[in-house]
Amino acid sequence: MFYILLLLVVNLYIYEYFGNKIAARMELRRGYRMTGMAGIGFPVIRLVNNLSSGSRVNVWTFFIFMLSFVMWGVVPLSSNLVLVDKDYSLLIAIVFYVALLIMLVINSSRSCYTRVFSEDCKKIFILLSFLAPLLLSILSIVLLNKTLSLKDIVDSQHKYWNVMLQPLGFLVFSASAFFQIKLLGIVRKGYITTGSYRGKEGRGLGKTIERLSIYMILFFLIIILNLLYLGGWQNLFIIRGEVMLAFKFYFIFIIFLLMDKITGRIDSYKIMLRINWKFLIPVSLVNFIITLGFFVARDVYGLILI
Amino acid sequence: MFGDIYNKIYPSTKTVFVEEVRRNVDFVLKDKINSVSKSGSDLLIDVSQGNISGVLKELKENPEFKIDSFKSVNTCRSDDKNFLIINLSSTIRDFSVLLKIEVSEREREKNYFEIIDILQSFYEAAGFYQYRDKDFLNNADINIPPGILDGLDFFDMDVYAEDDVIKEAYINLDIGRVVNRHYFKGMKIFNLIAYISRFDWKAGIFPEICLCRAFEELLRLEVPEKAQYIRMLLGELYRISNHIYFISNLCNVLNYDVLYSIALLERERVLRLIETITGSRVVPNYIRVGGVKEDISAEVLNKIKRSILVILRNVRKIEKMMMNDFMVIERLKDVGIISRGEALEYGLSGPNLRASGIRFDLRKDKESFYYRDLSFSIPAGKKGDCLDRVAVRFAEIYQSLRLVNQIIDKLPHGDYIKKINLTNIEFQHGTFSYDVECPHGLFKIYMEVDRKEIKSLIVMGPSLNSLILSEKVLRGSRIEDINLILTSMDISPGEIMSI
Repeated sequence: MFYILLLLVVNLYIYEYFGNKIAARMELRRGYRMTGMAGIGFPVIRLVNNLSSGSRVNVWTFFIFMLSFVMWGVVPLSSNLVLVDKDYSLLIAIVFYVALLIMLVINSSRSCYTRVFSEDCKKIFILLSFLAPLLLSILSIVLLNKTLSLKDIVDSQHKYWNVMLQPLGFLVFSASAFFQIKLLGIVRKGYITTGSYRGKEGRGLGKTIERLSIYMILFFLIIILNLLYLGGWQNLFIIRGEVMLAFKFYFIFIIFLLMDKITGRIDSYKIMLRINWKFLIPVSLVNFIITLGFFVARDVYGLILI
Repeated sequence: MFGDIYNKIYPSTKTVFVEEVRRNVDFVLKDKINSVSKSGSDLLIDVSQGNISGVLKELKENPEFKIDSFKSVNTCRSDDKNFLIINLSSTIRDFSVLLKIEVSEREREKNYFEIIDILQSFYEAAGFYQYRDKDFLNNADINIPPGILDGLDFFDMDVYAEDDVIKEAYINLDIGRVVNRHYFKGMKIFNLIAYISRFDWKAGIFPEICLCRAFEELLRLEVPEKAQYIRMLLGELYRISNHIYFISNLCNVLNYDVLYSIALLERERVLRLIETITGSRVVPNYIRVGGVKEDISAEVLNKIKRSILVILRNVRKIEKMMMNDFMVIERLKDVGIISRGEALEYGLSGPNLRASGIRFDLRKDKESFYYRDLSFSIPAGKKGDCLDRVAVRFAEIYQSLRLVNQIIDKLPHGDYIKKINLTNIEFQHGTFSYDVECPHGLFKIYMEVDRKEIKSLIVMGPSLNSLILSEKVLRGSRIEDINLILTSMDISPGEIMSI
């Protein structure tokens, strides 16, 4: 548990440090110069600055804080670094993740100074609709590997990574994960947690915890993407699996960060329909049906011998 | 000789036309009005409060005048009397009217709202000036305080919504009312030039040009050709800067970070060109009565010519990136549609009007500049939605870059200023107004002078009309589109503060 927590905290620090540097570099402002040598202390300064603004916390924030750490209990970070090793760890991880998302939406609705209920309904609808292709592609992986254990899924990729067998699934998973993180806010404040006109609201401990949970979701989705499709901690020739996992993690993280800069805000039904209902969900359905057909042919009728 | 005399008395065909309209107004409304006079290229009609209804009815329904567009209502004070200046215009006959109504000191507020009531029965847009109950506004579903919308920190907004569709939107400009008559009290003309560009800080040269042209018209002063060309050059550079700033603002609203940064860098490039000419960026203080402050050297002209090629290439890149992104197109398409009728009724002008499909540009009409020697077309949209407003502005950037090129090629030799001593100059008591085509629309200045003193000064910026219309456009839009629609109108805060 100590190692997992240490890894998370170190990653949080690295995220804050490099996230700020890369974002500032891309936005062409002077931030990357201003932080300079003192940039090493930047994440700490930012944390202290936020904490000094206020210490009001509500019950939802408490749950968010707890869930954002608890969900790491079932996620294996290497072959022996896992807290609770269960056969259905993928299912538990998804349940924790969805619960955390719901908590975040409830928390943002609670702190809303508007009285328009429909905007919160819209947020929930947009967020959950991006969850649908994600779950469909996870289901395809489960059918392919015939297991709900994350460890077994990684072990089954010793020959081929799942991305080779499920390229469409990988595309849909990464796109839907990216848009979920985009909605929650990677560098800028996202639509789900801040809404249309609350971009400048909120500091203090409550907001810090909210940001922390969003970082955790970002790490969580990238790790799950690695475990499901990119072979997790499988060795690559002479490179150790753990090093490969870290390399893949930061590679995807930087790709997401760059993608965040070149895509606009998703806060209207029109864009959500165009991206999700007209592209991601049909593609994920096609992928699922093909995988289902393969599963039935292989395991029910025994037509394919793999 | 005859030509000289004719040009001095009637400098343009527009003046002849306005003179004709003045006679008609005098003939038709002589029982209802106190006096009618020419104020620049506008008509100034002095009306008493009791006759407003009759005058407005005649002006709106008589086919001779056909005044169908409401511009603004302003208050002014001169000789210890309070006046209301109502700006109306005729889109068909292409002239505007200023109604001057005296309001008694004792019941000033009551009279004001009575006049607005009458005005509202003729022009819907006048409802913006109507009294609004604060309790009613405080009970709105969403209260958007100033500073929440990006770049629009001079008003607060109250929105009544049903589901996520806006039923009513109310804009309150109380926070923007920071200018009063003490601002220009005791100020000399040459001091005023340095201050006036604050009324439109997005394109600071236009208030200066407008003010100096107004004084030149009043003095019947012939400005050197070179000075006019330099003014045109600066005007076009500021137009490019303003439109690029508009695009960067829009990208900011859409969270499109890369384009936001690139557009700001391009604006920086244009501002540096402006800086090399004028010595400052936002508040140029470069135009003088009779010409401009300094001459432009050949080196600077060469630098501008080299830079506009780079700017053109980069703006093309920005447009390509923006218009090829389906997320941007989906977001802008069919949002905040302004029909032709609405645009004319609410007195919209500039790129917003052109986006609604009306090809009107004062640069083509006004004969005081040398735009007649340059070749350019007026871009226009079809639907009048946000996408059209963006497309029109991109087209105007290219057009302005071409104009800059032409101006540099045709820049004449000679004096850049006709020096006159303004310190001891005395004007006759009177009023005058002048308008120029600034990047947001028609920028108008109304002044009342007496000898050396400025009695009253009213800046009628085009952004106010956009803001009034946005209340109507927001009805039926979605909540998330508020920021987008207001940004697509390109509202300049400086123009609003003079209300």
